[in-house]
Formats: sequence, C-alpha cells, structure tokens
Amino acid sequence: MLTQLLTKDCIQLSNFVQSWQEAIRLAANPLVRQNKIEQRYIEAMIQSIEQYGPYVVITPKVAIPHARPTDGVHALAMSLLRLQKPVFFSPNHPVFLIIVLAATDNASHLQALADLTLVLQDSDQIDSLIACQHEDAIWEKIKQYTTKESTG
Amino acid sequence: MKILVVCGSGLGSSFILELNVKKALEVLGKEAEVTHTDLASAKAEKADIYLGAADIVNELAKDNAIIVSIVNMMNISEIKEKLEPWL
Repeated sequence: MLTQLLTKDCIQLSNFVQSWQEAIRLAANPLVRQNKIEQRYIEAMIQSIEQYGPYVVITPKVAIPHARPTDGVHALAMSLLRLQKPVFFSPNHPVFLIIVLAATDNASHLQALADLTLVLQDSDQIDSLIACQHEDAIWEKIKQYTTKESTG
Repeated sequence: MKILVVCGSGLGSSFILELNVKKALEVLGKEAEVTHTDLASAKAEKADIYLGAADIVNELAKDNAIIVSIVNMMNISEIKEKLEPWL
C-alpha cells in the first residue's frame, strides 16, 4: 500500500536546503505538479508547524508535515525528500527525511501510515534510507521494510 | 480507562502515535480505549489520559486529567515508561 502511494516519481534526493520551510516546499513539489495538492496546502503545512511547533518530527531525523484535507487536497498522496545534510526544524530537531502527507479524509490514508510505522520503527532502517543515493533504492527499501512482516 | 492521542490536525502524527500506544499497552499487558483526534476537538473531549507531543499537549490545560508528553513517537519504550505509572 505505501509503495503504491509513495511512487518513485514522488521521491526526491537533495544535498542541502536552506530552511525547513524550503524543505517542505521542495518535498511537496511533485504533488503540486501532479495536481494532487494545491499550492496553499504547502503554506498550510508550514503554518501548522509555526503554530504548533516541530511535533511533525515524529522520531529523530524524520518529519511528516501535513495539513487538513480542506487545505487543498485533490487526491490522497505522499512524497518523500531525502537530504544529505540535515535541515533543522528546531535546534534540537535535525531532519534528513521529509515525508509529506496529503489526506482526503480521516480514514483512507491510515493503512499507508500504518505501513510507514513499519519503516520508521527501526532507527537502522531510517539510517539506511538516509544513506540511499538513488530514488529507486529508497523505494525498494521501503517496499522491503513494509512487506517483510506479512511474508514473515 | 480512555487514552486520547492528540496532534495538531488529528490526521497523521496522532494516528501513528495511537498505533504505538496500542503496542505499548500490549507489552504492558494493559487494556485501555485508545483514540486519536486534533487539538481543538481534544479540548472538548473527555479522557483519562491525554497523550501527544509536548508542543501539543501543553496546550491542553485540563483539570484533573493526566497529560503525558512524548518526545519520540516511534519509541515504544518511551511510551511504555511514561504511561505505566498512570495505568
């Protein structure tokens, strides 16, 4: 499920970005291009962090910025940006992986998020994703981490 | 026992945290009702324990309610240790 949603054309690699705001804009770019979200969804994600703080950094090195379905989402979508050098969501929150989530309702994205927890539950798996040098490698690893449980 | 997991939008982080709270309860051998919601709704919803990132739950000034703040939402051990005294 997660790899069907987080397709290779929604995965990007970058060496460095100036700010967490730029990281979110860049990470969400493929979704705007594919018309899955409107530009205003990006600003809503940024505003949410400005309002509530960097809680979207759900585990060290990983942020999952998101806003509400009513902030301009056309289709359920996810995108991922991997940074070579971390961007700081706060002085204590260096982030290498930015996973944008765009949900259309309260339920349809939950399986993908449950899959995502299989990837993020292990800090070695996170480091392994960060070390990837190609979009395909990231996608393959995510596929591996999200299918190993069901295949035993 | 009702545990309400809270995040800004009630869509992403709170659901991931809810899954991990359920895993932590399983490890502890405890049972509780666990649901997730957004901050605005949480202010009006009654629960025994409110749990979320510090940025969020600190906004919940609830009388007589237990507030548990989690730093690493993927860390089952942290969730377990912080919840256990209240169960």
